[in-house]
Amino acid sequence: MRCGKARQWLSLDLDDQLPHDRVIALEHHLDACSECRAYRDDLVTGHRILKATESQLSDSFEWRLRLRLNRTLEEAARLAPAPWLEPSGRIAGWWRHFGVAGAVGLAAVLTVALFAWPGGEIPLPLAGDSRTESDFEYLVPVASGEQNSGRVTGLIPSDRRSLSRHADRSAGWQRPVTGDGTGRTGTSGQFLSGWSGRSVSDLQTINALRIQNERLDTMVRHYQRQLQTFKAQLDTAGEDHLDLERAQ
Amino acid sequence: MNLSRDNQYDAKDRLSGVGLQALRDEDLIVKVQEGDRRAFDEIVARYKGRLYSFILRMVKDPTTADELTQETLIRVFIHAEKYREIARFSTWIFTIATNLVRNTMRKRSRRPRLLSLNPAPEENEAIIDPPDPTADPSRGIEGEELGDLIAQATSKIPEKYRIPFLLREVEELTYEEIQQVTGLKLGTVRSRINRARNKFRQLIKPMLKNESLLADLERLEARAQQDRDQE
Repeated sequence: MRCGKARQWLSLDLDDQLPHDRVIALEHHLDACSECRAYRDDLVTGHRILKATESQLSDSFEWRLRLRLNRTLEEAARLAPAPWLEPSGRIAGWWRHFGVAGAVGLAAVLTVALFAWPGGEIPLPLAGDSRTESDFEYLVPVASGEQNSGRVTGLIPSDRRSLSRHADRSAGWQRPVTGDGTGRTGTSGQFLSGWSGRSVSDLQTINALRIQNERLDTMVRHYQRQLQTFKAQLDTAGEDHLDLERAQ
Repeated sequence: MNLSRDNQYDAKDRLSGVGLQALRDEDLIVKVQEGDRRAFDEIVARYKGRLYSFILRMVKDPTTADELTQETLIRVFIHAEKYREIARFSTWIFTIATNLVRNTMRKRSRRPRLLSLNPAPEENEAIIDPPDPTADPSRGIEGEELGDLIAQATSKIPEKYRIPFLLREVEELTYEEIQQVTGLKLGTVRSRINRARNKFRQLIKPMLKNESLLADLERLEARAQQDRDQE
């Protein structure tokens, strides 16, 4: 066996990586080669020196580590949103934004419809109006009095989308038709009950609740941050050193 | 019994502390995953010295080594949930440390160097020359001085050989673990360790002839053994 191969095997033998048959061959070589024996002794001494000269850390290492860890955790807690405010995924986030935008849009349309409408009434056809029934398709008949007589006794809005059409046609319309054709006002009674002041107050209540909810969310986040600060202080300085004044 | 809160905490601390010392590293990290900070303290106690020693031999600068040791342990705490018991904990922690060391050394190598007008000897040819004990026979090589000489010698081993070499010689990781830490093939790990050993031997060869150094080495080993017995 050549010395080069023997030294390669020596390194493996020191780490118990050499197969048994090769260990025997290596031992035979070492018995005969003093240079390779010296080489092995040097490797062993080198290992001993490396183990004996391991460097020592300063005594302050642990508390410095603890301080740094607390700072890292505090920073992470400050940056992370509250779990219940975090969307569960990209789609959820998209839907949340869509929902908010839709709600705001709907609220705006309702506000315009309720407060900016001329006279606060939905225009209805007058008695003796020359326009045909198709012009009033957004209105559906309400049965009252004589059944199946073919006479229209009252009208209600067919759906909310036609509000814009109402706006276009509002000019010149004064009073809705009534069952007896007398031209009596149609503002009271069945067909306008959906636009009562009650709905407006409901919307206002919802809006107030939403504002209150946002305020509470903000407060919760504030207290969460405060809690993290207290925990960090408690870990580092102990109970007596909590900086309550600063936190407040 | 009416214990104050501090006393209760201490009693609990002592009880859990006794339990934690008997646990394996892999069990400790499971406890860290469950949010047990005392288990993390135990991991720190077990690994801080080993990590620092390994990192210092890689980066040569004590301040950077201290910084990287802290960073490694913080990453262990923060990413504890990523550990799975498919590998030994020591493999995982030294993988983190090795990656940090590599990044640091890469950043360092990108920094522009100042060129000296005096030609320096080729790094690979430089041999570590210990102080001559015959000049002052009363003075042997102190432990610290020996450490510096060895650090100097270690730093002259090329980085690609030094990492597997130190992981084997100092941290005593198995070849398979070194393979996992470094991402090298097993055959490459074997050959790199062999080459690094050969290189290291060449570098410390003058020291090995120094009788006082060998005596000093024996003294250091005896002291280390004493420390272990006391623990």
